[in-house]
Amino acid sequence: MVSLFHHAPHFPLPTPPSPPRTRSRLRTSISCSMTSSSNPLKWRSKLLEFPHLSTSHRNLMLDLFSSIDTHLGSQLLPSSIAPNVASFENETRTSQGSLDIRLGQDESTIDFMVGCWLHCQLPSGSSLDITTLFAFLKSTTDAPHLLLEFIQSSPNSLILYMDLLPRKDLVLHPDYLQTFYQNTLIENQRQKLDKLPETQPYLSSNLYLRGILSPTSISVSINCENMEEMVRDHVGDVVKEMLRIWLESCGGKREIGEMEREILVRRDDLLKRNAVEMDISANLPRLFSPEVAERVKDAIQKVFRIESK
Amino acid sequence: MSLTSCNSCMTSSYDLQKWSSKLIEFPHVSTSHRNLMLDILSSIDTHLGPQLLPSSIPPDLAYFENDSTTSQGALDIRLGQKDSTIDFMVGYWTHCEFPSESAFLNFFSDCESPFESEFPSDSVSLPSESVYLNMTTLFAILKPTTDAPHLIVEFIQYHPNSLILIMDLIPRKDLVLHPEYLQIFYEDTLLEKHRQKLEKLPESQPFLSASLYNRSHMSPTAILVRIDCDGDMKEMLRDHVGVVVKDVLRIWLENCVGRREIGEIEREILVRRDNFLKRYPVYMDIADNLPLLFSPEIARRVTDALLKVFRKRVTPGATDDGIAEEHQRQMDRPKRVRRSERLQKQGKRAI
Repeated sequence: MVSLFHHAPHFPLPTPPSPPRTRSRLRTSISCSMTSSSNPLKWRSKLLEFPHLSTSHRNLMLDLFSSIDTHLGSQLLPSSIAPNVASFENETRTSQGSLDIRLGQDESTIDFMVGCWLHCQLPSGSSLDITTLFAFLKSTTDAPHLLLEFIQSSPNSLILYMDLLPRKDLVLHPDYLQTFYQNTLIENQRQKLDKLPETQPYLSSNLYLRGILSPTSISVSINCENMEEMVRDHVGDVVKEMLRIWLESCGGKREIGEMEREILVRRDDLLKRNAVEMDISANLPRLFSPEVAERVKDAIQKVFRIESK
Repeated sequence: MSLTSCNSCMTSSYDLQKWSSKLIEFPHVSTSHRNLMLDILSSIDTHLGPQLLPSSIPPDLAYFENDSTTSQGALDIRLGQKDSTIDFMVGYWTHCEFPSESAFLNFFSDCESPFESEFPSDSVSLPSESVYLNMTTLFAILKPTTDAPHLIVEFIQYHPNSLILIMDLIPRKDLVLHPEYLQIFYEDTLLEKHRQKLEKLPESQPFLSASLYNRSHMSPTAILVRIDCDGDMKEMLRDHVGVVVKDVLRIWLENCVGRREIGEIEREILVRRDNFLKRYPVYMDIADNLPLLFSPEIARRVTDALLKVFRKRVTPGATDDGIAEEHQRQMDRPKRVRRSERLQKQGKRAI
């Protein structure tokens, strides 16, 4: 979601074969076989289908949502997304998407969580798949928000963003940096991916988006022959570990002074407005009909509490 | 002897007498690197003119070396005029020779420098004779009469074919909270274009400071690269690195030196923020690493000089007691266990 704005799809490759949806291949993953019969996860089944992702990538996503449900339990209210926002497509079905938003309970520090996937069949034959998980916290805490996004433009080419987005100016608050970024040893995770020859740093062309990321953010493009293995053996571990760090370090309440809260709220508003607005408003209309784009945008803006202009 | 006369030939084509003569010698770097530094200092003089007072650095700070002269350094501090938005500018270079590869690697693993974890051990073959480290740095700190970005340029070289460049307009405000600041200084100035010129070179790779705090104060358009080339560093400096460095310097000189309207509350935050910037990335970096290269006495002398100029502007009327207090604060800071110590404890050799 965040990255749609600045990602240019690659066109050179022929149509990749779409991954088979047969459940029998997924015997090794318990969470997958569960979703075929029932849906114990409280997320929309349309979201959890991830129909266009490779097996290991889908498994990873299900693992992540499962961890979230396990850890956060009843803190997250069940989804209240309208069906025509939970799943949407354009007329020719070359663009499809699914969105789910779950609000945090009153007492939770979580404001809301967003899960989203977008699939777009490009005229050249290649396809673009974007998978997003985003958690936004209330101003009862100044702990980092969570951002995770995959952008796959070809079977061998994947861009990964993952970050605990800082809520404070790190220069002015080295203690905040210490608490959330040094003590958590999250840098080790970034380095695991950084060290792989198949990864290179990837910088958003949008300077504001670059500026919201933490010093330990993962922002890489991965190019390799066997993406399935890469996701399963390397990316998956790092992503799951970073999620675990976020779930464990960023869930509690924190003492926030009056003036601090004012700045926090202002900062969060700007983050939402600049990251979301710039991104969504620009791109949904490109992939979907104006009516669909409007519908999805509205649902998101309502929960982000951004006033439509 | 011939080296010195050669240097003075070169420097005479620039009028750089406002800088310390020891600084502008840059005796240990290549000719093209020296020329680039002289170009930079000359541009600064041309653009800033009388705004920057001539150097008044005392001789024992202008140049210093350890007993065996394997470590040498030069420092220059030029203060801004009373009405200038420039607080001060600092230029320094250090040259250190290590007796062996392992001593060199030990230094890297011990120092709290930005490049600690980026040392490319296997990828660059070190010469088997003594290895060296050259650092050449220039930074400009602005007063709170403006919130425009500070300037930093740093070159780190340990091999003729390998150069690390750090260059940035360091933001004075939280960019997330102030998108308009990002727009004025980083988008409208087209800084990104220059960063990309270096990024695109096959010889360059990105470089990340080991210190998260150092990472966090850089701007989104910061140049942080390591250039590895096959013996054509001269061309690299002249045709690529030099061009970009001079362009970015020009952007800073043209956009960041004028006055800006700063409200009362904003100024308070600005001053606090600058204190953090000065203390951690700038002062601590130098203070932590100088003792590894020079005697404690030299290290103390140099860091005192820097502290004086940092504190004088921050708390007018600060006495020398402030400096002693600062040293104490540094001593009390929890020390990172040096890697060589840690390995020794585990019964392993450092290298």
